[in-house]
Amino acid sequence: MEKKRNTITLHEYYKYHMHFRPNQPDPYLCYGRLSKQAIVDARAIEDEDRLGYIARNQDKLRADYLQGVFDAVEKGLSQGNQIGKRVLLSSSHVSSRRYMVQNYHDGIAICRVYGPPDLFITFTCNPKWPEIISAILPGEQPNDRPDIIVRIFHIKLEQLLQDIRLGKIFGPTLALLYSIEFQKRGLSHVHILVWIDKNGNEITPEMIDKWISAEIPHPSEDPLGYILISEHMMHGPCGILNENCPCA
Amino acid sequence: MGGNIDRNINTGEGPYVFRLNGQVHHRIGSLLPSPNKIPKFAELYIFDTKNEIQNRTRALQKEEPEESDLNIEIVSQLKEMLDNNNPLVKIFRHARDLLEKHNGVDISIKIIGANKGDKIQYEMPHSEELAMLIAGDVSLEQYKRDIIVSTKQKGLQRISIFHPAYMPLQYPLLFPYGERGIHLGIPYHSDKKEKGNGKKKEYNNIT
Repeated sequence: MEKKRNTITLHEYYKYHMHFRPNQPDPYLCYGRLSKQAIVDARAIEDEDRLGYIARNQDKLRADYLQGVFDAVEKGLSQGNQIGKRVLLSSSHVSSRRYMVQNYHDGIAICRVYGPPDLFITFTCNPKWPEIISAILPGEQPNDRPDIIVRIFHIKLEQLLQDIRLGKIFGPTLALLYSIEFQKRGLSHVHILVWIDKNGNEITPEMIDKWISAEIPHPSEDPLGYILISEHMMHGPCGILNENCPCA
Repeated sequence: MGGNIDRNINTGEGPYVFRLNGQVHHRIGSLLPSPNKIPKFAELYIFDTKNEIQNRTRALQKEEPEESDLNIEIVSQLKEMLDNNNPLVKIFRHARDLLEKHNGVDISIKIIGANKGDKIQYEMPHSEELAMLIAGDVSLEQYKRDIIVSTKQKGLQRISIFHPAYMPLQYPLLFPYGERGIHLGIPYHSDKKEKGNGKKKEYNNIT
């Protein structure tokens, strides 16, 4: 049996140090912008290490060695010295080209089996969620604590996905596909595609009306809906009319 | 910080975002600036320290001209705090004193690296464990593991990401006592891998 690693990795090291512990100052969390820079820095260290490993261990990792030669010939590089040394970034490296292509192919394969998706759902993190507000320390802004934001978003997202999978929201489903993105403001949001199990029927306008509403709810009939829509979904005046508008 | 910091992203009203692209690296220069050059980076600790505050604010303003509202008093207080507590800063100050005393002496600072599996994670570092002064010129080959900062040197040398002083050198304010960072071969707390707990418990008393 191969000897197991018994030393910690870079990832574990920084994960450990960035984790919040009550009443313990943490250099990666308490210093506002400087901490953010240090976090980005730590992440860059990790990436450098991983890419370095891939570059150093090409002979172990390069199962598709020949494919690389064919790619090069296809591009019109016929001389050996034009090809140079290829470093292949495998699909297991997150956000590498092969990773993106592989996931894209997976998505298209789902479409081939189940047809076009039925619903496109966007779910965005809200820094005013009570879970976030209660988890940050007094004096902190939600954007000072990216660790809390992503963690709570993840919990909520898992719950939402589970609800959709179990058919609690849209009835039985066939497939689910989602992609998490980070907006400029550091808040994560997700795009979800849902394939509904229609049993051969078409989706009727009544079903769509049940799920989707594109109007402002009446304040007296649906007061909560009215408050939520007017706070989150409406774009107020901006530019010269409202200098404080965050969209500028 | 090495790398291309994207300074265009914070123009809106939203929360501050730190973004950079390209490869990130940290490099260290020499102890003394080239003749007629403004001191920068580590040279600030050594050269012309009577006007250190001004030199520091000037070095920062060059990078971010719009942020010129630095409070001189806070800068000098931070400097004092680092002088009193940070062992790395102390070594640099010691080098300054020596250079002032013996004009033109050739010294180097050796920032000590770590051997695989050294148990340096668990205690507060002392000056002599972090770095030492070496008289004369040292060939770099001899000290591959360590960082050698000499009085005059062309260009900047790259710091390995596994050097335990990588983070404290870059962020003296986040690690005011020169706490050492990651190096290769830190063992798990126990050989039996209990997932999630048990790892590096002894660690807690440092950070």
